[in-house]
This record gives sequence, C-alpha cells and structure tokens, in this order.
Amino acid sequence: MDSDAREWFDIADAEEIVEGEVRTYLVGSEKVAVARAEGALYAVQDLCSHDNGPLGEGSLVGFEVQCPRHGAKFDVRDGRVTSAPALMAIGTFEVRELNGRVQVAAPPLTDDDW
Amino acid sequence: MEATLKSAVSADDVRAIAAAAGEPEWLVTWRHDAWDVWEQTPMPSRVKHLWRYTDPEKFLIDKVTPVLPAAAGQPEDELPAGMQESPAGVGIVDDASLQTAWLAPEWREAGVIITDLATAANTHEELVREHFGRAVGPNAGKFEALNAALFPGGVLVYVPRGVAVQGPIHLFRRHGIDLSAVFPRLLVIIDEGAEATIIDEYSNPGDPRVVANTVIEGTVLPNGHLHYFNIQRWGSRTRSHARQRFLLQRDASVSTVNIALGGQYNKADIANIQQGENAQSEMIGVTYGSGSQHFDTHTEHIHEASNTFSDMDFKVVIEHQAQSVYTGLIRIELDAANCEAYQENRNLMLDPTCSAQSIPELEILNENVRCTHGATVGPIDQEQVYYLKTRGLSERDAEKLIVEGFFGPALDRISDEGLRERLWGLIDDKIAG
Repeated sequence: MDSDAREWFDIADAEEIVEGEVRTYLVGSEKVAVARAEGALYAVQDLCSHDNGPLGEGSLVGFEVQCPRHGAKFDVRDGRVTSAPALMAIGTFEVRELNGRVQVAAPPLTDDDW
Repeated sequence: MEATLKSAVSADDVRAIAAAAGEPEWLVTWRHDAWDVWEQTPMPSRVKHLWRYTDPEKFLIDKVTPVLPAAAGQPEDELPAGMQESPAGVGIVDDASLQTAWLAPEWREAGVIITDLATAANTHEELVREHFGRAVGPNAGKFEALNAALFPGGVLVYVPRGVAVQGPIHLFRRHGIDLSAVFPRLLVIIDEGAEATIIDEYSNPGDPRVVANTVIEGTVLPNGHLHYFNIQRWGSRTRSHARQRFLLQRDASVSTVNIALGGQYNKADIANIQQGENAQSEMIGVTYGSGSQHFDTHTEHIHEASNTFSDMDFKVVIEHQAQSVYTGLIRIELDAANCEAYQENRNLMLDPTCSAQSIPELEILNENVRCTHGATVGPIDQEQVYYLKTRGLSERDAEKLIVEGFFGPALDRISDEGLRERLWGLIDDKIAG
C-alpha cells in the first residue's frame, strides 16, 4: 500500500506459505493476503475491490488470486484486475524473506489500531 | 464498588463472574454451556451471508479485557438527579452492573420490575427461566455465546399482566474503561395485556477503546404491546456487535426504533418474530454514519403465524469515508397465511467517498400474502443543494435541511413528541459534527 511511513512486520515462517497457496495475516492494522507463486512471495490487500471479499480465502492459480465470493481475479504481482466483476486494482505490499521468516511492510500501528 | 478488569478469560472465570453476581446454579450451568459453545463454534466466515461485509475479528476480546461485575446497586426511592423527562422508571448500568434502578411508586406497586438478571434469577426464577435465552440463546451465534458466558449482571424489565405503564422506562448503559470489553444484556417480558415503552441508550463517556457485545431479547405475551427505542451513541473508538430479537405472541405488537449514530465499527442484527396470530411489528431504523464509521445492519421480520403484519422503514445517511451495508429479510413461513409485510430501505450519500449498499431479501413460502419492498441508494441531489444555497443557506445547512427531510417520514412515526424532539436533537448534533 502506498504510505509515507512503513515498517516491517514479522508474520510467519517462510515454509508456512507454500507454493500455490494464499493465506491471510494481520500486518499492523491491515489484513494482508500473502501468496507464493513460482517460488516468490507476494502480498496484496485481503479485500476484493468488487464486494469486499476475503482474497486470502480464495484460490491461487499462477499469479492470479480469485475472490471466493464472485470470482473476480487479481494479479498478485501488481494488484491489477485480470477478471471481472471487479474493476479496480487492489493495493500491494512489499514482502521479503529474512532468515527463514516472512516480513511484510505496512504502516506502523497507532493508538487507534487495537 | 467499582468494576474491575480481567486480563485473560477462561472457563474458570465464567464461574467467578457468576459467583460475583450471586447467580443460582442453573444460570451458572447455562453460562458454562454457553462458554463451551463459544469455544467450539468456528469464527464466522466472511464468505458467508451476514458476515460478508464485516470482519468478525474486530469483535474478539484478545486485545481488551472484559469488565467483571461489581455489586449491583440497591433499588432507589428517589428519581435520579438530572433527568430531563418524567419517566416511569430508570435503570443505570455503569460499566458492568445495574447501579441504579428506580420506579415511580405507582408502577412499583403495580408489580413492574427493573432489576439485574442475577437477582431476578434468584427472586423470580420461574419467570426468568421461562424467557431467558429464548429469543437469543448461546446457539444464536459465536458472539452471542460469548455474551451469554460473560455478561455481568444484565437487566430485566418485567411488566405484569394488564399493566399499561405510562411514561418511558429509560435505561442508560455507560461504559468508560479504556481497552475493555463489555457485555450488555437486556431481557424484556411484557405480560398478557400489558404495555410499556423502553428507551435503551448506550454511550461511553471519555471515548475509550471498547468492544461492546450486546444482547437484547424479549417476549411480548398475548395482547401485550412494547415500544422499544434503542439509541446507540457509542464513542468513536467503540466496536459494537449487537443482537436484538423480540418474540411476539398472539395479538401482541412491537414497535422498535433503532437510532445508530456512534461507534467505530458496528454490526447490528435486529429481528421481530411473529409467533402468534394477529401479531404486529413495526420497525424503524435511522443510521447516520460519518468519518470512517462502519455500519452493517441486518433486519428480519419472520412471520411464523397467520394474519400477522410487519412494516419496516430503515433510513441511512452516510458521508465522508463512512460505509453502510443494510440487509433486510422478510420471511413468511409455509403455514402463515394472510400476512402483510412491507420493507423500505433508503440510503442518502452526502459524499462520493462514502459507500452504501442495500440488499433486501424475501423468503415467501405461503402464496396468500401481501408483500412489498423497496430500496434506493443515491447521492444528495446537488440541484436541491444549489437551490437552497440560492436562498441564503450555507452548503452544510442545505445538507442538514435535506437530511432532516430524508429522516422525517421515519421519525414522524414516533408518536411521543418529547422523545421525537430528543432524537432530532441527537441527529442535529451529529450533523453539526
């Protein structure tokens, strides 16, 4: 997600996110869907731009994550829509592996994040 | 006695809460069963109906601490100071426990009861056991089970047979502890031929961070009449999950008015069930969302008996980045003939950055019925705003006038003039920001 201030949040063991799967994590105050495709990790917002569906509960085929509600598809590499009914792209997050752990960059927590 | 916080909750704490409130063993067992349901029920799925627009994790209590019960207050002989109306009764719940319970002498002598549920479970066991948990039991949902296990004290309002209470019974729920979880619970019993007006008002002074898990349930016995007003004025950092459900027996009527103005993240599930023939239900809803508020409201009118009537009018105004989702169900069962059911939901969006959705649902299993429903979502008419500005109004005043006209038909259905004016005052305060 575009944001001026971000920090890295440690979210999981790297082996927890296996090839071809997408899982949901709370990163700071954001729900993030983290996927592994062709060996690399990708992180997008866990919210379909069509109807607020939970993308982390959807399926991943190649680089496309499919919303479990109405079937909209998004490219996890850049968040763009690849299949209707969604029309707007979703946000993406920086993600990295460090010493066997997965880390995602998100805005830091504030007092209102609880 | 001040309420206290408990940092971690377990089954042992359920017994401690019950013991602190002095509850009888049957209620302790009921709470433990509810705790088991809470633990065994999976989190609601965001893919499924009624949880598609709200994240259930917002209502978990792992980052806040439940408020344990303090000792309930004794019944008051004098009307609490500062009341600006002439109520028939007053109940004040501070944080966890009913601290003040006052009834005008004539209603006390008539047998009307306002007390905490723990006391009622001991002193009126048969009455409470017959109705407690019937409309909203632990199996109603995961968060309803949590309320059943952890509610501290709760409130009972009972109106005995044939007693028509003049003037409202006003309940104030005030929760002011930061990073806490509260579990308000209300049981209303309107006995045969009785009538009452209940104003149930929720707020939290000081705008603390609170998870509120509320259950409101009640039964209106044959030919009883209930007028129930729910005024939700939670602070801007409260997450509110509320379940409200009234059961209507033969020839009974219920009119509910739900005013939702506060809270940060709100989910409300409101239902009236017509179980007896000729039962009548009227449901009015007024929601005003601003800032980044989230409102997810579901209403149900369930017609289980023949010759029953329901009418629902739900108005939503939304502005800034606020979100509103309304889903409303009319269900008429197979054996319920000659029913009438009406449902209307209108949404007015003041800004292009807010969002409102309306999803009416009809499940009509009987062929001999009369049902209508209507839903609209639309932006404020800029031509109307322009016209009003040409008459000398500021843009905000023009919007205010249009909002008042929008809410008007719903609020004008409230017959009590003083209450209507008070509700308008709360809405005007909200518009003024």
